[in-house]
Amino acid sequence: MAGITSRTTSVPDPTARFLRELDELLGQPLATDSRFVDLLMAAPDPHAAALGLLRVVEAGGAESARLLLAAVRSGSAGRLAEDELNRPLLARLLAVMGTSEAMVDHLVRHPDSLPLLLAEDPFLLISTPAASAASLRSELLASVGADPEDPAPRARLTGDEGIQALRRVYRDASLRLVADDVAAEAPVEIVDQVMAVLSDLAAAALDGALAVARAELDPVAEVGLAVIALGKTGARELNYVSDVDVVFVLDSSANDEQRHLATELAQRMRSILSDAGPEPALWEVDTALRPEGKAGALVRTLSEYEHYYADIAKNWEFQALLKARPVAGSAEVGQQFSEALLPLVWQAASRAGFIDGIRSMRRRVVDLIPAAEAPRQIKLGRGGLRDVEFSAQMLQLVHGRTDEDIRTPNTLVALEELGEHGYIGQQDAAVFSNAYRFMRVVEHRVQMPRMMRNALIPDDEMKLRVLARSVFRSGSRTGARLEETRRDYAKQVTRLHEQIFYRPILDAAVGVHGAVVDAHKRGSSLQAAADRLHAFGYRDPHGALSHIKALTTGMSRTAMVIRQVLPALLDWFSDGVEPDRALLAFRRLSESLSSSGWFLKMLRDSGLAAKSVAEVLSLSGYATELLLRQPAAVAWLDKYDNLAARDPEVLAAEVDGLLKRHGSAAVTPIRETYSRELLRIALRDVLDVGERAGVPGDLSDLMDLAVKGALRAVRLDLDEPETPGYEFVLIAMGRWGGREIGYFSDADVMYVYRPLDDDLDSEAKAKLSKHVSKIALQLSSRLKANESAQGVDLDADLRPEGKNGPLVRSYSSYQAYYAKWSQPWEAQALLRARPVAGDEPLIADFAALIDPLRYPPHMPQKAMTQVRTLKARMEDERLPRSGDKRRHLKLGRGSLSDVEWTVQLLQLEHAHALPGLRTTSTLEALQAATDVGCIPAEDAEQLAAAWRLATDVRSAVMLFRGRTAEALPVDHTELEATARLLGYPAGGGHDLEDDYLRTTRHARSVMEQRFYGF
Amino acid sequence: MSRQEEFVLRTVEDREVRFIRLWFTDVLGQLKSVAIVPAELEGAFSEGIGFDGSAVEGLSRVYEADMVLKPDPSTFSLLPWRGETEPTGRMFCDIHVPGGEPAPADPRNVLKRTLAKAAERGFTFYVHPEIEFYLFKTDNLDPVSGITDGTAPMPVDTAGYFDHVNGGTANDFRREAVTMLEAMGLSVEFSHHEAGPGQNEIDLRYADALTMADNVMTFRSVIKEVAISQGVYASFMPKPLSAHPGNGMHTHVSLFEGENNAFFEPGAEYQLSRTGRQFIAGLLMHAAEISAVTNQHVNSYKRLWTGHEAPSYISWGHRNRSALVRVPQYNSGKSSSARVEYRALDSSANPYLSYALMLAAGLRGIEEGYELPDEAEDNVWLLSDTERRAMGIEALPRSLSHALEIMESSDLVAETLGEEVFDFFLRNKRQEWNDYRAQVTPYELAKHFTAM
Repeated sequence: MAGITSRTTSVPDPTARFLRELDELLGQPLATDSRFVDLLMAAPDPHAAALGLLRVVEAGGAESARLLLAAVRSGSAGRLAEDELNRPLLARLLAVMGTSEAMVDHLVRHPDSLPLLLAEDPFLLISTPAASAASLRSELLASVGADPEDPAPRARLTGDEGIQALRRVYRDASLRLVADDVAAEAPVEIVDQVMAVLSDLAAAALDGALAVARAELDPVAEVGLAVIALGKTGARELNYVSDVDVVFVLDSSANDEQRHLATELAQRMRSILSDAGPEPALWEVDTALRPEGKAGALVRTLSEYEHYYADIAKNWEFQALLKARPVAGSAEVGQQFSEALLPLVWQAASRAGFIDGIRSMRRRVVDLIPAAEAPRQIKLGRGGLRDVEFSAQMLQLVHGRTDEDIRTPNTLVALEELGEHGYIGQQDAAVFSNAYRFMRVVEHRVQMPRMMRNALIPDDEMKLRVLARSVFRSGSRTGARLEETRRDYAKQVTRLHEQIFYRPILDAAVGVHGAVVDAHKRGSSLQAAADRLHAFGYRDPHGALSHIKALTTGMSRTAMVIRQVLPALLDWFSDGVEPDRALLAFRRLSESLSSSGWFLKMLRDSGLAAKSVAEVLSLSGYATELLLRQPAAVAWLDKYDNLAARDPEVLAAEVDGLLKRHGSAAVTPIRETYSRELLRIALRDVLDVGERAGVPGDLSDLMDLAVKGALRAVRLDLDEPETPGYEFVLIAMGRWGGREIGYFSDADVMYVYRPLDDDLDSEAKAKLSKHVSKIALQLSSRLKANESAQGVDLDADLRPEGKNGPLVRSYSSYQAYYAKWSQPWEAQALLRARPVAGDEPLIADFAALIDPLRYPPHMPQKAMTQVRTLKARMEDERLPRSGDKRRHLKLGRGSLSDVEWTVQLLQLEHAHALPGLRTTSTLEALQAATDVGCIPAEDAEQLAAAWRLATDVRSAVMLFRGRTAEALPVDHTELEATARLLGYPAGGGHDLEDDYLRTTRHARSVMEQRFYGF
Repeated sequence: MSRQEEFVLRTVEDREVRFIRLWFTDVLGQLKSVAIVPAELEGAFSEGIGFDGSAVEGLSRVYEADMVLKPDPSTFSLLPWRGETEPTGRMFCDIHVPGGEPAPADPRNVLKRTLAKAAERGFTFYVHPEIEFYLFKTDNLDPVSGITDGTAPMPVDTAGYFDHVNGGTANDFRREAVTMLEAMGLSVEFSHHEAGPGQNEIDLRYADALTMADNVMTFRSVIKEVAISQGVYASFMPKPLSAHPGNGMHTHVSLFEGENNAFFEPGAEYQLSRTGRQFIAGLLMHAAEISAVTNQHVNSYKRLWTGHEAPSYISWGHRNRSALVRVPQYNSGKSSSARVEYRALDSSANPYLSYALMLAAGLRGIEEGYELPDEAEDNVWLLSDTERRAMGIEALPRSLSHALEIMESSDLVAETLGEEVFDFFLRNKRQEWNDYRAQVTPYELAKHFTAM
């Protein structure tokens, strides 16, 4: 037998077999005619089309064959004449068969539905009178023998009979719809009508199901029940297969019995529509959006809804309400629901924080999409349908409060209105609209084959090709084109999504003629722009507008690039805590860098850099100030590798080099190195790169490095040939000694020196003593922080005899002083003494001198009591009277000093016997004490947690406001920023507060037991 | 503008209301009130009314002195005792901090937070209180402030439990009170004369906990007003007369899951479900910790520890009138009436905080699956100390000081109240205890003055 061919290609074998069988059934050579084959090969999946038609004709027998022949040709037998083939009709038929296996199945189940597809009309449903909501409702109600005119229609058919009739007629209608859809030359142009019909059809099915349920359960129709659709159904933008979101509302006057009955009706409706059966289920009825979600009652009275939305509902529930629309059941109750509840959306939208809350929720949703699926997701992925819907919704929520014209649940309508009323640019609206239409068509085509709920582009090559052929009727119909088009739209949407809120603001700020946030009759565009900034968290929108104007005015290259990147930056600033401050900082930064080409290029080209700049500016005043002093460091933000801790040896070599080159003048360049690395640590901390727990150690090491270098420089400067030989050591004390400083710490120090020659005469001794004192003073004054640079504030107040003692003591003087001591508790400060810089032999000898003091062989009870009493007195005296003692970070209840004293007491008591305890680090000592059983692990953990949290809070507050913090912030903004810097989600300020107060309360109770022995 | 708000505005206009009182409650359960005129009402709904919170006990830290009152329109009602001449309305308010968030230290917010936690688990919490109070003659005391001339307050009658007093003050009083309560939208279930002379009890019909806490505040106000109008003085003091029973506020509670009573299980012992048993176990386990709130005054412990069926010991029972938690006789086949009665509360308690803690304790029992100890069948008062110890029955705290010590280490209480309220409450109550301890009482004078 010869192969079957169209006029251009030959048909592959299995398909050819189907065509021959088809001819046999038809009794004449229709299917193998090359003109038929032409049409077949144009179907998205020709093989499936051939098989589908064969199955349909087989199932319908002779009658179907006759009908088919009658429809596609007028001649009776023999060869087809050129004009005898009804090409449009046949093309449509084959497109349905070649697209939707589910529709073929329907026709196989119901061969007598075939004539629906064979009608001559160019449209079977869309744009015909039958497509109206009322007509669809009548059609579905009639299918179960209910009277559409009845205010509470009841079905004649009930039980399985009713279910099957309803579902079948629903599918007959969707068959006609599919046919119109797949036959359309430009499906994107009718996709809005398709969505509307699908929504109305779902509404009709709900009414049909209610009619069946009513006939079964409530034949006298005593219950006034309305069905409110939410989500896509509510917005009249349903797709082929989707959960239909509804809630059930009962007349407020209902009694207990009616409520019970209504619940049964609702449950029955669900099973009529969604339970498996011989005629497949239509879709899931999803009722999870009801008050209290799955835990709540299925049916509630109107007054209960009012109460719930007045008192309990969360922000997202109002957002969901934006799309609510009564679709079935009692029209009266539905109407009351709309009147009572829909205005609440706009009220809620005016609440402080509402818009911010919705936006942060959206960010979380995006984070939840499995990464592997994200690129194939049409709906949820970046630049997907949800982004378009979300942008339209946000703008409605911001401006719909005052402008009723833009309140509509439907995305495409909303975009049109927003564009028309000037809230977004007309072109932007068009881009969104086109992207949305295209992606919806793709989504529909993904669902059509099996009528399954799905929004994933297939990863199988074959399926992708079929999908592409069903999306594109002409031109290239390849998967590659589909993917490219989709990516293109997604990119446009993503870009616009980030800018759509802000771009018009830019125009408004500079007073562009006809700026797009020009709400015509509704006041000035500047005011609308300010409203929007305000809704997104800018507290001084008019100030912000003037910064925006300053940044974007003019024709310079800088202004042009900033116009491109600013919308995204404004969005990121608004995610932060103080958008206004961040914007101002950005203005200062770009003014100081405007001549650097790389800065603008980086902002424009590197998403990471721009985003990081935004984050740093909005979260850290400290890092911002450092950055403004050394703007070139912005370049690091291009790659996080730049923020990694520098190798200590490399840094040490750098300082060596500086000393070599600059000699005694090296302090200034050393301080520059210090500032630069400080900024690196701060940026790492703000951007959460690396371990936060490592920050205090990194800062301490950096301080060590700077002080060491500076000491060498000062000695180079001051030591004269005639200076007697001497050793000099700088000892870090306090938190610096423990390697646990923050961005703020004073550097506690002691100095010790020793002449190399034991037998200096008294004049030489006096001279040397004066000399070392000068070294200490010079070191301190040259390192001191000043207006223009970071520095180290050396503080020697912890030295023996405090301010009354000599600034630098000789080794022998220390020996004499310590020998006189009778009070072991005075050694407590020495527990954190750590030699940092100077001459090795003296370091070793000094350690040998103080070790017996700080690790005493025996700690008498009397000394323990002295330490405890001292602490109790400090608690009473040192805390500022006005402050809240629970919030003070250093001296507060259960905070740093409580933990440190507890640990130090353990060290004084046990470090002699247990060398593991001999460390200057609080946490290491605590760990060692736990390991050897000096303190139960649970107690140690409570103490460590409080210590870490107080330390972190201190650093975070400093990072945010650039000034030291005594206490946990009380100011709302500072608290929020602190929480963000510590990794809490937006709005976590009060959680941090609660965590802090709880953690320190626990630590205090451990401390009272372990330290005081209460 | 919501429909509720519109309704309030319309009513205010229709009834020519002259003032609207904005009610809120401090941490100690004292009702506070700010009056506004109708012109300010719309602004109060949209923006709230600012006030200086530092003047209110426990409400705010000094640095958050600027607070905002947001009236809850669903609580609007006219004050019946203000009559037609100068119609006055009132609404309960939520307190917000200037940033717009609910104030952590607003007791109403504490309760709302706890209810939200229950709602996340699918539960709604219903409450039905039996509120006791005494009526005193005003012969020797000021009818408004209640300050006496130094002599002991005198009850208005000498009747006892359920006594009908012919032509008595108490009957008139209760009739008038019930009428006025109903006029303010509070449904009264039951009212009768109680065991003490001049002591009365009125039971409110059950409602969700937030509504009920508002109702209890309204109730106290109404009773005080009616007393003034009738020339008697009403007192909710936990133990006003040493020889007679104190003023308890037995509280019946139930949890609903949607339409279903989660405490009900047909066929189970006392028709009490597993959830119900765990809830009771939670109440018992945490009873001592929450005492300082449910029984918040020095005087409260004089009610708990002087017999008269006050629940001094931590136990539960069915018909046992000495038990702390009672499972009332289940009646009439109405599953919705399954409930448990917590008998520790006294009439002076802050209902918002007390309900929040009772709910939190019960939920903890459900979450952790606490086992319910055996039922106490004997009158726990009649057992010897050793018997009670052998049965594992512990006691409620014996004094406010003791209760505070126990509460101090309770994470459940700290979490539920929030660290702010928790800390304020402890400080304030320690002060109350210290002030009390400093007193030289008439008892001591009578006992020792002449003897030494």
